[in-house]
Amino acid sequence: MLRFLHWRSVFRRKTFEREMADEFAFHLQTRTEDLIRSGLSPQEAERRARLEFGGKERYRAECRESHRVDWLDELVRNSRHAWRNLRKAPAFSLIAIGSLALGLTAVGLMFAVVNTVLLRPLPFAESDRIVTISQRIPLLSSSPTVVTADEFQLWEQTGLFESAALLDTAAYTLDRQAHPERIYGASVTPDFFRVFGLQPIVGRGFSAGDAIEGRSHVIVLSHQLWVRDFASDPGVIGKTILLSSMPMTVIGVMPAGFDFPRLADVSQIMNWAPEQAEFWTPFVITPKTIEDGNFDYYAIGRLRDGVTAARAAARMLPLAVHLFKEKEIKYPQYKGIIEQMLGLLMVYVTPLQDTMAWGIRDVLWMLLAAVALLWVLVLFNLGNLLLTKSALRVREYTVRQALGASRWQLFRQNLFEQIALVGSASVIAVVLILWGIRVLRVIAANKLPRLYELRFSVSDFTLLLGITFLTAILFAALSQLLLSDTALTFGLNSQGRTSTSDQRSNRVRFILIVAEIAASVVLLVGAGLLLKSFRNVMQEQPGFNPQRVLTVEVPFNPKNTDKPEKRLQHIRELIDRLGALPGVTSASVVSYLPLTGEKEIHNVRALGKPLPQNPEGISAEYRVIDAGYFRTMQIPLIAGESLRPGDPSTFAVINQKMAALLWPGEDPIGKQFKDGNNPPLKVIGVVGNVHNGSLEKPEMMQFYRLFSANPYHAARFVIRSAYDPEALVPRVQKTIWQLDASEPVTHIQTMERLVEAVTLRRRFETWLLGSFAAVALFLSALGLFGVASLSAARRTREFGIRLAVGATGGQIVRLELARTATMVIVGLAFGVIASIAVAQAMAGLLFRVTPWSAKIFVGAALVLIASALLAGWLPARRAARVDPATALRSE
Amino acid sequence: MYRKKNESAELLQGTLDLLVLKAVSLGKMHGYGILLRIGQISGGSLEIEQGALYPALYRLERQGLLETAWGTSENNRRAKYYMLTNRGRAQLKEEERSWTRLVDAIGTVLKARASEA
Repeated sequence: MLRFLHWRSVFRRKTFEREMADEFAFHLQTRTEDLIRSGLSPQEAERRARLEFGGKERYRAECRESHRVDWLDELVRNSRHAWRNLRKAPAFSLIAIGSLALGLTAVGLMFAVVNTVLLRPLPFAESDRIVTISQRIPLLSSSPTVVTADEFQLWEQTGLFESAALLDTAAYTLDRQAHPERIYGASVTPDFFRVFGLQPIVGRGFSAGDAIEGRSHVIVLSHQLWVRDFASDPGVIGKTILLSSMPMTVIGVMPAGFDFPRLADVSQIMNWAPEQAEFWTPFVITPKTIEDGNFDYYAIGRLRDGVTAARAAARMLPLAVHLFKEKEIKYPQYKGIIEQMLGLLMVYVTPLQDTMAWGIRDVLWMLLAAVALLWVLVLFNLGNLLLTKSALRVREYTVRQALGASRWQLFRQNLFEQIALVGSASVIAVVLILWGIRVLRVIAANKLPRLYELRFSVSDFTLLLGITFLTAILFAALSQLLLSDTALTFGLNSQGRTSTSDQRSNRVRFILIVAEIAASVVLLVGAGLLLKSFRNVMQEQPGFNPQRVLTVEVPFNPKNTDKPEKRLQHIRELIDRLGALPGVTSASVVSYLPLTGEKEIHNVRALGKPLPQNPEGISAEYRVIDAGYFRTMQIPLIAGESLRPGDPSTFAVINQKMAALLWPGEDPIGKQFKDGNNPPLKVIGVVGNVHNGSLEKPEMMQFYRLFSANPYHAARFVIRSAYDPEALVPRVQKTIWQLDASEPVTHIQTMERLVEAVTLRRRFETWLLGSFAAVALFLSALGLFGVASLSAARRTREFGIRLAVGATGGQIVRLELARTATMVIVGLAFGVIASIAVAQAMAGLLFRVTPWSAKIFVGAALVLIASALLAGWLPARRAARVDPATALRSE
Repeated sequence: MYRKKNESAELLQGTLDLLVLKAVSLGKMHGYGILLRIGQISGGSLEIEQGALYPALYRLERQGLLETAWGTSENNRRAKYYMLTNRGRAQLKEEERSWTRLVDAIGTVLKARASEA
């Protein structure tokens, strides 16, 4: 192909040269003949003809040039010209490139995030067929998550799925010579890896034979764990390792990057999950698992080809209803509850990708919309600047056009200038985006779904490139439109005097500014609403005092704690020792920490009372605590008394919500309630409500019993310090290991960190939208400033006359400000109307703020007016200070 | 030295292009004939070397304003003829208008100065 082109061009060049020689020869011959006819001798005529023609070789070269590489030449010329122009107006270029780069960065980063979280398919084969299976039983849980083992077995047999798996979270202590390590993962039914279409890179995955009681002591390692703790040794396959004193055989290692379930991905659906799965063990469904009927398991599946999620869900619901009816027969005492449940039962089959994005989808689209709005604002602002700049270049264009430059040539030249502008902005933007992605990955990778995959992909880059070029063309067309119209008619004789086309560009400028102001109002109102929500969330009390509290999880080694008394003894000993540390004011233990989202739900019922109408009055969070828990956490005691060491195990403390729902209008102290089928419990005290999982959702009913009532629960120690709790960490670790060196110590963190973690998402969105609004405000002020400056400059002479005939500086300022004010008022009007619609669309993202909060609308308007007045006032003041004599001479 | 020449050529270019287009617009013609016509139109006021015409012709052809064909001249020789394309015609019309406006504008300016003085 290349060779062919080469041949062709050689051939064409030869023809070209020959024809050019012929043409020149014809010219000379004809001229010679004409000269002979006018009376010259043939020799003299030939000499004259050659002389008149001039340097033949030179013109040949010029012909070649103008014929051949016209476009290349123009390219070079245009880009040189473009750069010269950029350098000639450094302030303009700086502002233009700066705001474009900022806008492009925001658009690029936001799109990369949206692309990663919402659009890009999961990195598994035919990932759109991977679904999560869940049901919503409104009385039991507020989030659509869990399924029971028997439901799963029925569903698995429907043939709707190519493969499906039930999973539960799991944690073990990896016993090693040095300090033991706590590892987190999942227990899964054998088809788990097949759902993702993945194979282990070493060894094998699970087979049906591994999921049989007594033969299930096998483990598959994550790549990360394999590298970290087993030095990437393939020989580990077949070896037996000790996990919480249980021998387990390593059978496989999964490929790098696979760590499902991962907390950041599934935090919206799973009550708790490992930060990332480090291992998988077989989930054995025994008759007991089914008998317990726990709604504690998560299910995923790979849909059979051609089965839609909706169809699968529709087929699965009757099976779930059927199971509930069976339970109704088995447990007649729950008849009423089950009847209620059946009417509300829902089965969800959701693509895994959607499940991961659940809860953040709206936020991301909102932010993307905000970024797009900001981008439009950047464009308007630049359009405005460009107008101002064009006005100053009318002369240059007039001359060029008069000298024969065609409109098309001018446009191309113009385009080059814009490409130089937008191009350098996008280079800066790419650098900023790459940097921003690194920052985001560090900050949010473990907090927001899939952000660990965040990168600047080809499609993101293409989008950026597309935007860049469209912008350049748009700007070139805009300035062309204004220039070609203005140029020839008035270019040479108008400089500073109003003309019709000036009025036209004034009108365009007016529209641009109004649009900018309107867009800024929308962003300001949006940011205001989010900011207010954020403040409301931050003011929301978690129900305890999170300041200066350190928490630590100590999963017990079964060999030390195989008897209840021994375990209780161990825990008491630890509480005493931790409480005695210098700087510690009190220490206690609890089965599940607040805020983390971890919980155990029990069904409760007041003795001798009908079930409450409110479905919230059926299930309650259950915690076992040590007597010092309320004091350590500073959870207020509202009524009755707190639990004391040695109290009977049937004593319970409930929260206010439970008191209000089970015994409305009565004194709950001394009343009794049933916890499932266990013996009734007696209420001895009422404490405040405590948030779990989120500060934005209402608290559930909660009740507490002494740890001794159920010592096999997990043990999370809470330690209140008089000073910075972080400083306690090494001593706490040492204390625990002094008692038993084989105990792993995990999840050491301060309560304040936990509060931060549950508000992270809101902090993230508020911060982003807030910075967009700030940039918008700045840009619209800049636009106004530009317009006001230009107007002041153009009217210098007029002001000079006015001042000379006795106008005061204040009058001049007022005159100029009046113009600004008109634009601001019109822009505000449009902005407020648009904001009402936007605020309504944002309602779901707000917390205790009405979308039409007058305070916020007024606040946004005031901020805008203030910045606009400043932007208009500065040039107006300068205009008013002009010396009349100078002004009059200024033309 | 070369550079300087180039700049003056650039300045001329617009005017020359306009004249060439005008000349060709009167009918299909070869290079030498175009030169004669320009001489008539401009009343001999345009003094350029005859060879300088050709780079202009080639450029206009390249720009798609002119097209060419080989034919036989009045003195029975093979000659290359130039014709206006549609775009060339449009361009000429546009440039004629621009030119007139420019001249008017300059005239206005000059007159204004004269009366003010």
